[in-house]
Amino acid sequence: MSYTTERPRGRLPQGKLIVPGWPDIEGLGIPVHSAGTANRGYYQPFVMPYTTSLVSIEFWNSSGTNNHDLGLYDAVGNRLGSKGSTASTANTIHIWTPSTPIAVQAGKLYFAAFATAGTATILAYSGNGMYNPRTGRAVQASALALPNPATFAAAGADAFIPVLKLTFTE
Amino acid sequence: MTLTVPPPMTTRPWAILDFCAPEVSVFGQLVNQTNTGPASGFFGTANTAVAIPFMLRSNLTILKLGWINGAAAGNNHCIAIYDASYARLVTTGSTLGSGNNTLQWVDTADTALVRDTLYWVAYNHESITVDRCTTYGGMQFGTCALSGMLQQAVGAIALPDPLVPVALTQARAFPAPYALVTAGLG
Repeated sequence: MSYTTERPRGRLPQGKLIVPGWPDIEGLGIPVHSAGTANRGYYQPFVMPYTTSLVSIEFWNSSGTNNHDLGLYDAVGNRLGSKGSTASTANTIHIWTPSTPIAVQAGKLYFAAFATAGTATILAYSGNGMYNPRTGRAVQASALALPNPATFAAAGADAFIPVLKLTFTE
Repeated sequence: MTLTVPPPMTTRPWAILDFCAPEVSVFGQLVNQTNTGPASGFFGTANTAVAIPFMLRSNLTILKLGWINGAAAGNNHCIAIYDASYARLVTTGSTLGSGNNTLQWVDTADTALVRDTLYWVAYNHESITVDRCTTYGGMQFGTCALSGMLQQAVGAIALPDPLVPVALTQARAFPAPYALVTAGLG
């Protein structure tokens, strides 16, 4: 008897996932360049349908040179890795690539995290805090550099939702 | 009496592939959070092609490529599919837009695409006249850049082989391309 090994179906295009976004939620509108709250940590939940490893997290910095940080947390706020506070430049994709890809288990909750020191504009969904309860996203004051552990607080009416692009091993 | 029963259909004989669907491209993940979808609009820079990466979940064969004309169809369009190294696999060639607000198909050479493989779909148009194309509105530089979009100043309408794309210099409108495909069993 022989077996055929197939890659699992339902993989993401190019192993990339926009967080928050499809398939988590619809109707956010096209993202715009907008500013959040200085030093606030933004924690965006996601669940992967298959076990994989996180290769990188990216965001688009439109203006300003404020420091930023990117990171990955587990469901209870343990930091699994982070970039560390780093200066930004305008009109640039900023990327965090862990030295070793970080294992992400299928079906488990994780948070992709972002914080910036100032009010630089980045690519973000903007304008409706009503999505916060639906997305399960969380925030934290004074969270630059991203702390370990994180202390998740409800996002309330905060309508600034950073667009983060996660890349996983394929 | 002998009855012949045809085998059941396990897949649709054909389907329309939307390159801007979230299952297909990062661009789709970014733009399909809107409830409005693409609308009649205009191309960013005449004869400067734009391309986005995409990946399929199933093996497919492209039969036709197409686009939705805007409210005032006209001028020439060109769509092409490239492999990960930017070698051209199939193209519509330069084709005059005809039929306002309609999906216009161009019959192309049947081209098999393999799932879980990186490809690029490129779009070029020779005019910036309003309502020639159907595009996603409100595109930000960051949206385009994070989607992986690249550009090439072709200087003519026909998409070249190979494509030699460079990083975006600004936000670019991306007219939604489609393919008529036959599904494989992969």
